[in-house]
Amino acid sequence: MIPERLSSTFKTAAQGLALQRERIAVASQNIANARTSAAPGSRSIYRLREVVTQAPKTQQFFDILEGAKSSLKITDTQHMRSADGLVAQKRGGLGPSFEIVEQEKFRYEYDPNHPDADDNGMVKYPDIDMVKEMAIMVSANRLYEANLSSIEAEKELLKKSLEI
Amino acid sequence: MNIINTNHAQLLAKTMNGYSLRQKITATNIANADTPGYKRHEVYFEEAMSEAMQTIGLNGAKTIEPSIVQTDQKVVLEDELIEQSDTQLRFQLVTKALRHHYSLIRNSITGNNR
Repeated sequence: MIPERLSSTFKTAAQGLALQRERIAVASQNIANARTSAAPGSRSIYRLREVVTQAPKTQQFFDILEGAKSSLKITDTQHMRSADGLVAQKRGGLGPSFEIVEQEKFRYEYDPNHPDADDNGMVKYPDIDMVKEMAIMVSANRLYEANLSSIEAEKELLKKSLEI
Repeated sequence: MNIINTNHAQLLAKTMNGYSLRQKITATNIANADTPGYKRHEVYFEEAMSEAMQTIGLNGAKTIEPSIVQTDQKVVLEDELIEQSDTQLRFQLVTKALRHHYSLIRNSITGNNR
């Protein structure tokens, strides 16, 4: 968890970093279990995992706007009036949220001598596409770096503003 | 009259103490990122300080000591590093304010030779 006092760019980028790290973790789990079979009827089979992302809720933007507004001084009655002056509002980042979803997709291979083969000689494997997993890893790597650059940019900005 | 060690300078020094403690705790968090059972620690003092500032005033704010709190969250390396650079920047800001304060005093001591 990232504390409230940090700049919202940091919080957003941290959420991005967490997401990309999770995507790499899930891709490596999938790759590691690509050939994990299970006995027919067994419940403990590995299922293909996917990271499903969700855009930040619009409410969060309004929260940020409210938070920014409350630090402004009201000098005219026609100005927007915020609820409670200087009380800091909860401000989350605008990064994505995510959850890990297991897919009920399986692939069957004919291998009658396999201990996990069913009556027809078919062995059940999770339907993992290695090419796709590798592509996810590369993209997650690049996006992780991109989030790091936005942190670096914000840091540079703050440092420059200290030179005023 | 206290010119050099003013309330202002004391308050800034107090804040710097808080930030350096936070930096230490962040370093501890990073060092223990892989320690089983370790929970993230946090340093609080800003809220208490601003509260004391509003209720008691400057003298109240000067007595605030930073507190170290154990949270129930696991250590996330990225978050710790981001927090570290945030603390660094805040420290720089306070240092700059303090430097400015002293340069004002210095100017008032040596300022008539221009």
